[in-house]
Amino acid sequence: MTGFGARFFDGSSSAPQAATVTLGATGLAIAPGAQEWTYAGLRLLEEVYEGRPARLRSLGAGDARLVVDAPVFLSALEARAPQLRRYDRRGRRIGPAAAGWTAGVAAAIAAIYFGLPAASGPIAAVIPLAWEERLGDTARESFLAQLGKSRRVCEAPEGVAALERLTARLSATMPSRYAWHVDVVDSGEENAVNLPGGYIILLRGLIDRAKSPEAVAGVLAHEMGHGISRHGTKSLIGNLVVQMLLTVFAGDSSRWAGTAADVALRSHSRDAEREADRLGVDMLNRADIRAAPLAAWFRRIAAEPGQAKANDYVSTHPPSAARAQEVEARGTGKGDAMSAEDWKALRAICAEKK
Amino acid sequence: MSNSSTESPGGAAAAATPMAAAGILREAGAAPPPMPALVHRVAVEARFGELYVLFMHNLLLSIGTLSLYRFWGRARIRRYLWSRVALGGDAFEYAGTGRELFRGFLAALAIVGFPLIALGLFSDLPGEILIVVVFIVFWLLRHFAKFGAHRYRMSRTHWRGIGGSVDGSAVKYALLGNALDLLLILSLGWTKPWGDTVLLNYRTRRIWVGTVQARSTLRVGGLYGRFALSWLIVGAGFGVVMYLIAENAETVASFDMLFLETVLLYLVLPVIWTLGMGIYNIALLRNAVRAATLGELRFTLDVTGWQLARFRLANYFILIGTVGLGLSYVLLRQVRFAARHLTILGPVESIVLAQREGRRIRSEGLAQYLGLDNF
Repeated sequence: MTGFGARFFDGSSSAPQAATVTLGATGLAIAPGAQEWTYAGLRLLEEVYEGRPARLRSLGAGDARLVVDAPVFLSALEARAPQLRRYDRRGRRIGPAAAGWTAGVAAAIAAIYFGLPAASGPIAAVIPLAWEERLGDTARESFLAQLGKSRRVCEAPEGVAALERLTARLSATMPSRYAWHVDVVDSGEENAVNLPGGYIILLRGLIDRAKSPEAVAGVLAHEMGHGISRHGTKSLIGNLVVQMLLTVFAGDSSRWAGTAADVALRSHSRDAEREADRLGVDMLNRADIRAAPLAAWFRRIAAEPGQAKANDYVSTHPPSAARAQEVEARGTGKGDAMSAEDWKALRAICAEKK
Repeated sequence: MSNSSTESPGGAAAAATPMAAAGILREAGAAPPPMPALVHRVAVEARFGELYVLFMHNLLLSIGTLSLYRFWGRARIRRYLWSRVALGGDAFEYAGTGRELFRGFLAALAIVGFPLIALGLFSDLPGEILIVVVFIVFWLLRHFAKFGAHRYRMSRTHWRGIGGSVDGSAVKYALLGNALDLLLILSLGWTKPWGDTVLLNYRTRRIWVGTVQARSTLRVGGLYGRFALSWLIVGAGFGVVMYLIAENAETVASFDMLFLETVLLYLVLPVIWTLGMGIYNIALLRNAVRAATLGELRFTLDVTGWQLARFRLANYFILIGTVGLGLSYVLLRQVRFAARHLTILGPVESIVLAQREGRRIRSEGLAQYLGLDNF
């Protein structure tokens, strides 16, 4: 058997030694030095690509290294040391591999992007109501904690009764699994939130600045629309999945994947707003309540950007002229949301007892 | 291997000084030098297509295995990259394994992750406090993890069979780093040049290649002028951006604030930061490279601040534009950029390094867990 020219590093010094390697009966014979590296103990340092040398180590030889340039050497060696074949990437074409893996990654990303909203629905559907209510209760607590000192829930009895009548009237128009818990919180912010489990919080500022009870009814119906579509629960599930994905990407592309996921969730949440608008207007129509004041409210908020900062509902989903128009076009109700006495009581819901 | 500690590192032919080597550079048109080449560059033989396939393979398998594959994928990518960077005709070698990375991750999970999870489950602390606690713990462990990763990587890097190693204590480094961070905050950033110098010297001086210990004589002198300029530019830039956001929140009607904020925060701020800090960063980098020696080897970095800033911004926008999928390309660009601008002065060909005994360490420690590794 003819020898192959090689460079040998003994592992204790970096000085290269010219060597000749021959394929023996049980292993590689390295001369000079008369060392033998058994075939079973041979390992490649890295995957070998076309035109690259074979760089070897031996399990028993510590840090010693052997570098052989001749391409036929590795092919001949693999017949005796088949464990090396796994690391032999010569002759594999990069183009098809790149195309294949790209397609695979694209398919995985598409499955997640489109599957996420589709999958969160069924998952949300199997979550028992009791869980969802507990989730909503926790979310409500932390929302109130965020408001800080203005966390007082308003409890003037006439106002609460008026709000309950409005809630019952809207809720009767559309079947849902929830017993709605609607609270007004004493905060000057003009905002409303829907939380899992049928919890809705209206902030006093919304009622204070509403021109009519129909605007309040419209916002309430919109939030109930979110609840019926279970957007809060779904987005919680979506966020969980995104968190999980971020772990997958962590350290590699996490920051960029995070940005992409954020964009995806935002675009889904815009769809959710439209759905809630649609359901809300349906409820107003069935309860025969005018929708125009809700449209007017959208327009006013849009034109009053000072509000945007304090109002996360507005800043993540800016009310647009388009949304106002849609609400106006679809609204068919003609009646009032409540009596003048009820409206007066609702506006005074946060007044302290005399 | 028993005689390794008695061998003297460095070749005998190394009469050259960096001055002499630089002189050769300048007189490139003159007669060829009669001695072996003393000016070396690192050769990069990596190919984008190959690296891209490795990255995509890693990404897809990571998704499929709920991220568990990433440790093995990362080791594979490192093996590829190390093997395609050569000095003096011989490629480097990455001797680490995915199993080691995974083991480090598990250990960190047990030491840091589980206690924090337990704290979240069994304590009555409100969520906001918990987030702050987790943030502080991770922040404090940052330097510790970085040092561990640095030490692990050096110990798994071989050249001509000889491995690197790092002395010193990760705990000490972390204490030093956190103390300097505190000073940085208290001084509104003005201790940064000095702190950077201290940390860089600490790290570099503990690096060994074989039995040769690196030296670093980085000084803070000359850095403060540039830092002041950087500080003022970045400070003014941030001020203007914050003012614009606040101003427009008040006055711009029906404008998509989200869009404006996105442009300012992801486009304008990074540019201001990179260009502003670049004035200082390039000086720090160049000085650090010039102050480091390894036996008879000296190093220079011939890159301007503008080149570096332009390069970094391009990388940033490539990553954003490809939602992270271009990371393989950016990584290759970084390796090539470093190789193009780094000059190694000294008898690379004839240098003889001896293996250092007892240099093995077990794993990378916390870095994998904290997500500090870029690949």
